[in-house]
Amino acid sequence: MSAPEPVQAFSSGLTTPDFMASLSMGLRPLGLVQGYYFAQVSSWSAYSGYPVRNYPCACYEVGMHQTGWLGRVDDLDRLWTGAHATALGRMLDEAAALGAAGVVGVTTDMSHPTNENSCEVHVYGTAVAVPGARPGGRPWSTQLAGQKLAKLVEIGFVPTSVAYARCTAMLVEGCNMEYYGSGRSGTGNVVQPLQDAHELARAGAIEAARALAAGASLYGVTMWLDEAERYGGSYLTCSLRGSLVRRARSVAPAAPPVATVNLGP
Amino acid sequence: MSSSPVPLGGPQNVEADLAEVGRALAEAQWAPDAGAAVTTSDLSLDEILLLHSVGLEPVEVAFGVGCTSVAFGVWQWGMGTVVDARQAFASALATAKSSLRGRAHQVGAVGVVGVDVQVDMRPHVCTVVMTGTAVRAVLDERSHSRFRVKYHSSFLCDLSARDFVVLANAGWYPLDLVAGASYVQAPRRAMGDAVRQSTQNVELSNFTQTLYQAREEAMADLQRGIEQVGGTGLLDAKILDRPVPFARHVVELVVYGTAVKMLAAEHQHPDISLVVPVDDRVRAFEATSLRTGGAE
Amino acid sequence: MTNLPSDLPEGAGARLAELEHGLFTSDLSVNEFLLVKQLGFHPLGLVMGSSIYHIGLQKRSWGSSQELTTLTSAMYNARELAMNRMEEEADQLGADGVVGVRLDVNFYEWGHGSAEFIAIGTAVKAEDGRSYRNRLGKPFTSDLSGQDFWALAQTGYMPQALVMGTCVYHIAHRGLGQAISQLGQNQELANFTQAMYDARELAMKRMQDEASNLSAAGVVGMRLEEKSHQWGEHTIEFLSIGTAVAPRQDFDGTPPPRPTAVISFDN
Repeated sequence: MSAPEPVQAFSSGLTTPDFMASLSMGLRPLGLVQGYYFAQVSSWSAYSGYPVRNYPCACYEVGMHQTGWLGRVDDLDRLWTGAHATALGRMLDEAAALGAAGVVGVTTDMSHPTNENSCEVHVYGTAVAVPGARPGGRPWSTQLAGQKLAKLVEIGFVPTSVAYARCTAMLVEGCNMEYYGSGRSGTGNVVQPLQDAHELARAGAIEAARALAAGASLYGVTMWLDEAERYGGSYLTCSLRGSLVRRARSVAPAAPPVATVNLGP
Repeated sequence: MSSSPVPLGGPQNVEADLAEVGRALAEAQWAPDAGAAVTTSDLSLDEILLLHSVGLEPVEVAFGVGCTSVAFGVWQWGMGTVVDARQAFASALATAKSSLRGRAHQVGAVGVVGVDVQVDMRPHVCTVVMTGTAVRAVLDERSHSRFRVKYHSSFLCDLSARDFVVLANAGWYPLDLVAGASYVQAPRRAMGDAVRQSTQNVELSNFTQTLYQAREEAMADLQRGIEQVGGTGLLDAKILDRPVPFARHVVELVVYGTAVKMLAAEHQHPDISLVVPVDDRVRAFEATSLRTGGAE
Repeated sequence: MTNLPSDLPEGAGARLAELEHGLFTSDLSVNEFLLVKQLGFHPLGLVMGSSIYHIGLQKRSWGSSQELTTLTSAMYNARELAMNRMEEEADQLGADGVVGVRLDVNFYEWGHGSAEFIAIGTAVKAEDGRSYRNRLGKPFTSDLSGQDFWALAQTGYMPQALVMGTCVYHIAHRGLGQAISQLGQNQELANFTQAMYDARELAMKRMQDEASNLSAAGVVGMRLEEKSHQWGEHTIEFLSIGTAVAPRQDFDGTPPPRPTAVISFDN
C-alpha cells in the first residue's frame, strides 16, 4: 500500500481505520467541509397547506359537526427539505473549492423536526480527492466512509448524495375523535382520522424521498415519526434520511455465510 | 468496469481490487446507470449482500398502521382481564398487518423483513405501527426468480435480514408476524389481609393466579396465531411486560414473534466452527475482510 | 392433560396441550435455535412460572450488621416457587430441559411490599429419545445462552440445574462519634468490609450447597448480583446464581474443535 503524498496539511473527521481505508482506496483527504442553514419558522407555516379529508361525526345527524379534519402542512416540509438542500449545497461548494471529487462520512445535525420557532441544519464531512477524477463535476457525498464505502462500491453501487425527506400531517380533533373516529362507538373499530394521519405522514415521506432520488436508490435509511401538539392540532412528521446511490454494475450473489460460535466475552 | 455480473471476492489481488474501487469513485459523477430500480431501504450493506445470496433484494421501506378504538370506561378499577383492550389490540394488529401486506403487494414484494413493531395503548385508542423493508426476488438472465420459495401472500417477519438468510439456509422460512396480548388489573387486597400480612412472608396466591393466568392467555393467543398461519413454530419471541402509563394498576403484556415453518425436506445442519475474537480497541483495515460479506 | 399440577393456572393446561402436538414457541434467537438443533435438541415451547410474594418486614437495628433472615427466605422462596412452576410446565411437555432461563423481579406501584417473581425459558427435548434429565429426574434448567450451551456440550458437560443462593444483609451505620473520629483519614472500614464479605460468602455457599445436592461437577457462568430493591441503601440482597454442570454420560471423549482466532472488521 503506497499512501499518496499529501501536498498540504489536511483536517479530517475520519476515524483511524476509515482514514487507512480511504488511503488504501486512493482517496486523499483534503479537509473538513461544512454547510449551515438557519431559518425562523413563521407560525403561519403551521397552517399553510391543504386539506386532505374531513370526517363527519356520527353522533349528530344534522349540521356541520365534525369528528376531525386532516391536512398536509407542506409549507413546513418545503422549509425543512429546502434547508437541508441549501446546507448540503454550501458544503459541496466548499468541497468543490478544495478540488474534491466527493465528501465521505457526512453527518447531519438538525434541530428537532417539529421545532416551533427555528429550523437549523448543519451538514459536515471530509472532502476527498480521487486521482484520475475528471475535474469540474459536482462532488458526490455519502454518510459512509472507509470500509463501508469500499463495500458499497464492491457490490456495484456508487454514491450520489445524502438525502433528507419528510412529510407533515395535521389532525384537528373534533367531537370525540378517538372514540367516534370510525363513526361507531365501542371497541376494535378503526379510528379513521388517526389511521389516515399516520399513513399520510409516512407515505408522503416515502413519496418525497422517491421524488428526491430521481431514479437513484436510497440506502441506509433511518425513518422516524415525531409528534407535536400545538395550535389545537396534532402534527405528525415523518422523516427519512439516507444516502442516495446508483447502481454502476451488477454483481453475482455472495457466497452463503459461514456459521461460527464466538468464544469471546 | 464491465456491466456483466462479476463474482465478489474473485481475484486474490487485493491491491488491484482496491484500485478498482478508487476508479469507480473517480467516475462516480459520470457513471452510467446500470439499473433503473428505485429503492429505499433501511438495511445495512451487509444485509443487502446476504439477502442477495438467497435471491432477494430490497424494494422499499414499507409500513402498516392500525388505530382502533377502545370503548369508554374499561380502565376503571375492577378485576381480571381488560377484555376490550385485548380486543382493540387484536384488531389494531390485524389492520396494521393487512396495511403492511397491501403495500408490500403494491411494490411486487415477496415479503417484508426486519419489521419493527410499536404498540401504543391510550385510553380510547390502540395504535400498532409496523415498519420494515419490502424485498423482492432477483431475476436471473432468463428472467427466472433466483428466490426458490413460493408464498401465497407476502411473508412478514421481525427477524433481521441476516437472521432470515441464516434461517433460510437451514431450511426454515418465516410466514407471518403473530402476537398475543393481555391487559390485567391487579386484584385488591382486603384491608384486614393487608394489615395481617404486613410482617409475614406469604405468597399472594390470588395475585399470582391473576397475572400468571393473563400471561398464559397472551401466549395462548400467540399460539393460535401460529396455527392459523400454518406455522410449526415461533422464534425469537419478544415479551413486553409493563404497566399501562395512564392506568398504573393495569399490567400490559404483549408477546410477539415470527411464525416459521420448515420448507426443506429436513433441517439443514450448518457446519459450525469455533472462533476466538482477538480484537483490541484498535481496529485495522484490511481489504480481505470485504470478502467475508459481514457474516458473523 | 388431566394431571396438571394444582398450582398452575387453568389457562396453562390448554396452552401446553397445544404445544404437545408439535407446535413450538421460543424466545431463542435464530442463532441459538440452530445451535440447539445442532446438539440434537428440539424446542418444545416457552415455559414460565410466576409468583407474587408479599415480603415481610423485619426490624433492622441501626448500628449492627446482620443477615435479615425473613427477607432472605422471602427472596429465596419466591424465586423457588416461580422456578418450580416453570419446571412443572416443562415436565408437562415431557421436556428434557429448559434453556435460556431468565429470572426477573418486578415491583409494581400497587404492590405495597410485594413483588412478582417470574421465570421464563424455552423447554427442549432430545430428538434421539434419550433422557437428559438431571439426577433428581427433573428437566435440567440453565440460564446459559444457546451459544454457551453449545460450547459447554463440546467440552463434554451438560447443565443440571440453575442453582442459586441469596442473602439479604443489613449493613450497620457508623456511629456519629466513630464517623467524626475517622474524619480526614484514609483507612479501611473494617466492619463494612466484614459485613459485605460475610454476606457474599453466605450467598455463594448456599449456591454451592444446591450444586452439591445435585452431585454436580461444578457451576459455570456464575454471577453475583447486588441489589437494594426497595429497602434503602443499607439493606442489600446478594444473589449468587449459575448453572450447575455434570459430565455427559454419552460423551465419547472427542476434544472440542480448536477455535480459530479472528479479528472482526465490523464497526
